[in-house]
Amino acid sequence: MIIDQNKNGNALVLALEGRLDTMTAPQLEAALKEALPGVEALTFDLEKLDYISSAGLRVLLSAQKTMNKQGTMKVKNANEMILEIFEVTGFCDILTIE
Amino acid sequence: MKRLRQHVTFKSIAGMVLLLVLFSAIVSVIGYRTFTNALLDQYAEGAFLTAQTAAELVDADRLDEYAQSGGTTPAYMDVWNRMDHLCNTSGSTFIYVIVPDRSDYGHITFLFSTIDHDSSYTKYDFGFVRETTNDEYREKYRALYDLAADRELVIRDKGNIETDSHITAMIGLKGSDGQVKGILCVQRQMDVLAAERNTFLNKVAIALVGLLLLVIAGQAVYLHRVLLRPLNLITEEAARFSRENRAAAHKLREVIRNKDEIGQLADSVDRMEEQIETYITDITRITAERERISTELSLATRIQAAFIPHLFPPFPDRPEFSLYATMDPAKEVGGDFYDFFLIDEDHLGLVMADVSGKGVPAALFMMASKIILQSCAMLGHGPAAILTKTNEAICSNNQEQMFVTVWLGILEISTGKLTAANAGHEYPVVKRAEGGFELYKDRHGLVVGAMGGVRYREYELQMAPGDKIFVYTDGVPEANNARNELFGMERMIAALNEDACAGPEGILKNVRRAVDDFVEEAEQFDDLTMLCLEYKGPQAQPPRELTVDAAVGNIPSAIEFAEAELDAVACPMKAKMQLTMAIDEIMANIAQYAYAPGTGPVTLRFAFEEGTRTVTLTFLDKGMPYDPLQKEDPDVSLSAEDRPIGGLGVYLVKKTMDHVAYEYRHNQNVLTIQKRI
Repeated sequence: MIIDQNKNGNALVLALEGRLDTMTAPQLEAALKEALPGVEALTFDLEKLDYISSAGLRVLLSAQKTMNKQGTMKVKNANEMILEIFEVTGFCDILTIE
Repeated sequence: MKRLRQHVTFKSIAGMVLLLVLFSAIVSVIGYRTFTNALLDQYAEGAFLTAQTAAELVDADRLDEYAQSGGTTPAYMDVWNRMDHLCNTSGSTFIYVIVPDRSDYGHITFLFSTIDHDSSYTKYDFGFVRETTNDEYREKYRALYDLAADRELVIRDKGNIETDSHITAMIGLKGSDGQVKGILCVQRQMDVLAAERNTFLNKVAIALVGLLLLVIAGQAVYLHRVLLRPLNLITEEAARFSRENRAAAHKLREVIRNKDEIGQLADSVDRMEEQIETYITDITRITAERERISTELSLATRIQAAFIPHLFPPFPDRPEFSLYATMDPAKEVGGDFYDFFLIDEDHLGLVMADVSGKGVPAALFMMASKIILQSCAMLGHGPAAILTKTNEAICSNNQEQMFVTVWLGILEISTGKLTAANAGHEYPVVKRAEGGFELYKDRHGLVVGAMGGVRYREYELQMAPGDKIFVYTDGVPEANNARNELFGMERMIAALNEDACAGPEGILKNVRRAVDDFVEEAEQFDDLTMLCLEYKGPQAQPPRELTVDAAVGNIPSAIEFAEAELDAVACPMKAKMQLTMAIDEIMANIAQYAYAPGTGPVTLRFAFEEGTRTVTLTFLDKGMPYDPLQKEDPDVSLSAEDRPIGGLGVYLVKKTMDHVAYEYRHNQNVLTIQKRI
């Protein structure tokens, strides 16, 4: 998975490419741990993300919990399959999806 | 309640008052009349007596002489003085002697006229002429003169005259020739009568009012004491009882001492409360008992149902055969059972059995039989040996003389060779690939459990790909309809052949529907148990599989293997992603838990069925037994803060796959996922 970070002041955009699964989730987790302090607007661009597994959902959930304390977080450009997963897991009610 | 109470009191008292008033009125009228008549008689008698005495004073033969006297002669004055004396001593108001004119009695001439000096009257002067007062007087004067009567009485009571009430007693003054020469009249006032009468009426009225007050008070007190208070107590007690459903600490009879109907009512209510309380206690106990039994029975139903294999398709990773079975006990628990199990990787055991009797005893015997049969089968012997051993085991401890009919078959999966033995069970029905279902009349042995030392014989049946075998219990052909007809073998075979090419599940559904249509409303009498196996033949190619160590690091190679297979069958992108994700979730699970803290092998087997375009992925590991499907689904409605991290993986797999099954088999966790692509 490729993580493209684009930081502008205290706004951070993370463009994910490939698969967010058991293997790659720790990679994103580590990147967030490093980049999140001080961020007030976090955006995940999922345009090039193929799929997401429960390990990926875990990372998104913990990012959402962090951002609830320090700012806002949104998710955009998710494909149909990922949206479906957000739907069945109830994540569509937790995340701000555009 | 209050309204009714007032109602009763009001009605009762009003009735009494009405009766009393009516009674008083009647008494008053009668009393008034009697009183008046008696007084009048007395007055009249007195008046006549005075008249008689006065008449003695007047000599009738000398009346003409008195008339001539001008009222001044000593003889006239003598009579007048004595008459005046009589008038003032006899209590009369007026004593006078008149001579009417005989032509029409229209005028009267006063000869003597004396008055009571205390009265307000003034006497008529001698020779005064006046008109006769009215016709009554006129008629009575005439009667006296005509000698029709010796004496007459005129009553002038209040109401018909303006003056005070009075009576006038008249007697004719007869001369020596017997003719009436004049009339002597005595008038008496009836003032005493009127006064007495008023007093009488007043007393009656006062007595009536007093009596009325007494009756109203008495009736009110009586009603309250005797009727309303006890009735209210009973009403309150009934309300309390219906609220609390508990008999009172103090009986109504202790408070209500009436010996009348109210007392009987109180007695009845006391008795009713006692009986209802006893009844409620009984009902509660019986209901609790019934509830307990019912709970236990439904638990037993679940245990029994869970005890026989009930997940279908049972071996999704074995494409060589397909199998379906159903069991519908007539009661909560039944004596029928089917069973199937892999004895080893190449042998499938099939059992269809029917225990004598029904209900709980049959169910207990069924459980024992099933365990013994499977245990014997697992030892690897042939069907005849298994039945023989099972029979010995059951007979050694079968005091209730129960028995079980068993059809037992063992399929050699790689060759299609079915070896079977029949212990008194129904004939199996076999369908050859090219034909229809037909009864297979196999050789029967004695039922299992009847007696020890029985030897069973087995037979072989070669199954070709597409062949099917249907086994059942007698509940199917012996299903009864309301007209007491049997479903029968012919209808059963017809139902099997309705769509003989259907899969085992379809075939069983056809039979079930035919039975249901046949029995209609009749109650299911016997257990309905069926099993159908379709042999599909050995697999053309060995299964595609990959074995790696269970570690997160090996997930990519597992995904790579699956993607290659999926690409080979032209799997669409979305399904491929979903299957890949499922592999990721399941492999991660196995890597984390199966061999923790160490590691071990995990095999991923891929199978694809061209006809239904179904992908079957099987995960086999030899780790600790663990069924991930048992885990409860996460609550997906919680907020971010309340969400536990994790627990979503298996849930996602369940949601995205068409079928997910778990089994612990031959010391392996076998998790199968299926998806149509």
